[in-house]
Amino acid sequence: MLRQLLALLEAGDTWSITDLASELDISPDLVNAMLSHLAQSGKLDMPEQTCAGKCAGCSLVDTCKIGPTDRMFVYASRAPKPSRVPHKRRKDSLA
Amino acid sequence: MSEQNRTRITVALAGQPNVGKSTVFNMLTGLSQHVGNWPGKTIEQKTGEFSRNGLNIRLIDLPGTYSLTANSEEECVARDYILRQRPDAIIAIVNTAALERNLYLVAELLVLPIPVVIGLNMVDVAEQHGIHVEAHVLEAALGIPVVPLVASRNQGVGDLLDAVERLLDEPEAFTPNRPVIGEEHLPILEEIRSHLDGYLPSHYPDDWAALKLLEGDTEVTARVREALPEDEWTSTHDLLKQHEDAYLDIAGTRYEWIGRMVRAAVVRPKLGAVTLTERIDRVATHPVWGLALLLCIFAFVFWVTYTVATPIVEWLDVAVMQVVAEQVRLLLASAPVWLSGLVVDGLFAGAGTVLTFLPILVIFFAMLGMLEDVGYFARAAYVMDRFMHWMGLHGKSFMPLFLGFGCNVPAVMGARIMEDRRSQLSTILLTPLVPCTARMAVIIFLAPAFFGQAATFVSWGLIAFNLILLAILGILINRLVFRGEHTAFIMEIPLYHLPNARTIGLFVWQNTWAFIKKAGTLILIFSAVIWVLSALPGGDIEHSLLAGLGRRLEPVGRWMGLGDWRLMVSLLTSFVAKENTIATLGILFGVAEGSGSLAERVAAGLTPAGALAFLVVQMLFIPCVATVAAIRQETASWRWTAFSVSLSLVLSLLGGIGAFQIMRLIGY
Repeated sequence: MLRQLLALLEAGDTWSITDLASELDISPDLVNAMLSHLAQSGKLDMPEQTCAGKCAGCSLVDTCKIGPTDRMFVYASRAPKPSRVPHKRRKDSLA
Repeated sequence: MSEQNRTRITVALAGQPNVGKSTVFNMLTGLSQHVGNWPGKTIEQKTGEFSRNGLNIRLIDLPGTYSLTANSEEECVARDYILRQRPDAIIAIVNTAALERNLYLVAELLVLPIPVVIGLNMVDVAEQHGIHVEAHVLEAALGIPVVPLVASRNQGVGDLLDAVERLLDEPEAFTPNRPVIGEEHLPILEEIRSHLDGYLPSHYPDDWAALKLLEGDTEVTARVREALPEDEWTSTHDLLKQHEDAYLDIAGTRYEWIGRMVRAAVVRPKLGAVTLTERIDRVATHPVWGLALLLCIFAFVFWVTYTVATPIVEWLDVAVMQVVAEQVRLLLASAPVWLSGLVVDGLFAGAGTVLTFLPILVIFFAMLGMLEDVGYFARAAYVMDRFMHWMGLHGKSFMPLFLGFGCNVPAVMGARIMEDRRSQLSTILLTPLVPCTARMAVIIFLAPAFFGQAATFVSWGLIAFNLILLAILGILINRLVFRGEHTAFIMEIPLYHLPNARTIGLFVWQNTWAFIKKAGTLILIFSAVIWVLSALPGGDIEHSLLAGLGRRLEPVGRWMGLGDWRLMVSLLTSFVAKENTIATLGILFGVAEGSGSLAERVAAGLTPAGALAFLVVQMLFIPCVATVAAIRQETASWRWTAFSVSLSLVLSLLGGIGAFQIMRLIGY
């Protein structure tokens, strides 16, 4: 199912969550869950929609419309896949 | 110890963040809690002990996690504990209102050899959202106990423990319906498992480790690499390399499993609002009809603004401004001539005329505020983004560019959301082509006098022309900068709802007040400067410093049918603030001079071709000084700032000349 979702996104179009849900014949909540999953695994990007941090000191912060009202995801075909080998080893071994 | 003689059990409490796990923990353990840290971690560890029905229960509150994959330290801690300590049971708390997202963790827990009970928390919240979950159906579908809860009111928490005790008394009753990996991956999984056989520590189930390897779990990969002899690791690694994207199928089958469970047990009655939203969105978000609707709405906004505001603006200009200016001139009759000129011909004619904009802005902002409040703007954004994708622009550019319709300054600053420099730069370069409210207000002020009944169509066409130019430049930038790279953009679109008068009123007030402050400061000062330049050195406007500058620009103006130097000067002064075009026209065309409104006096000296050229230049001209300063700040480069200013200047001149020549060719 994730593969089907990614195949739709590969085309590089603009989608609403309901569009994706009807295309995949699943609920919008399930699409949302999968998008969050892909965002967490680095396959999708969630652009920062808040002025916090980046816009500190900006006089327009109060009236700026870049607000966290709606979630957005961006899929870039060049996004990295999860790496097979970790960059650094954790000290606490499972073994 | 046999199950029958069990006197002490350990239960782990698992769940995603913010599902009410801690509430359940606090309800059960009360004051018998021990708070510390997980060994070697900064993550808080909470344990508690209590007795129930003669059974001593040790409860472990695991960190909130979305899955059991090593994406975060919390996830590593939670699964380390489950694998190493093997609690007698796991209680998985899920948020009933977000079951699709919460069941992913359950799907991973069920693979482990530990019984799981589900606590279906916040059933009350879910019901409020119209989501009804049939707990017994979900229980049958999952094959594990499911207990509805309202943890915040201590409802069902005891039932949860009863379910755990029953499960431990009858372990054979635990027959979970686990998500099954796709058949195409089963042989690979088996092969990986065979490589692991005998090498992993006993607490590491081979099946689970093989699955995690195939999923690309970094932690498990590192552990396996340490544990396996070199030749076994090489074979395993080669196999994993061949199936590098298997994680998509594994996670995908989990979501298919979730979909099946939810379809079986969740009832979502269609709310009226949802149905209405769906019906409207069939048109509003349609690739073709949605764009057509957006253009119609823009045209409607202009039409309403012209129909309602223009008569008021004309009345304010002729019956109020000119009369008050005349009265002030009489009052200052005994004052020095320069003072009377400065106040009446400078401040009144400049900043005062700009203030007559107010009805335009109030109506315009009220219309925009209403569209935003009913939820239409999210659709407009969606439709426009499709348009941007069509021209190949980066999806993330949309958000800052859309801000540009309000003001170009936050739009330029908004380009910070782009991660890479090239995308940020291209968005900044395109921003001045988005017509801001101030530019549109100038157009709304002048277009009716220039074009009468056709004003709505002309204004609409001017915005469309700006957007077409933006599209062409976007395509060029995409080709040159992004080299055709595709990105998908996914938006969450809210339901439509009735507009709230207070919200709209606040929106109108904030924007109108900002405009009044600007008129009372920047435009007022600039009006004074323009008047001084138009009066010096001898008090005759035709031989003033400003006229000297304007006449130098006349040759360029003539290519666009703008032979009057005053028109070129008014365009030039829009560099300070777009509204200054009107302030300067007010000063140079005299507030108390001639008859009719200011717009009519300006229109009297222009052919339709020249009038259109004037508006085209106004729409494309160099952005205001605040925007240029923002461009300098964001690009941190004078070179790119100069390039942006030059680009706007060249486009506006070419646009003006083109509009004038084409209009002449077709007989205007």
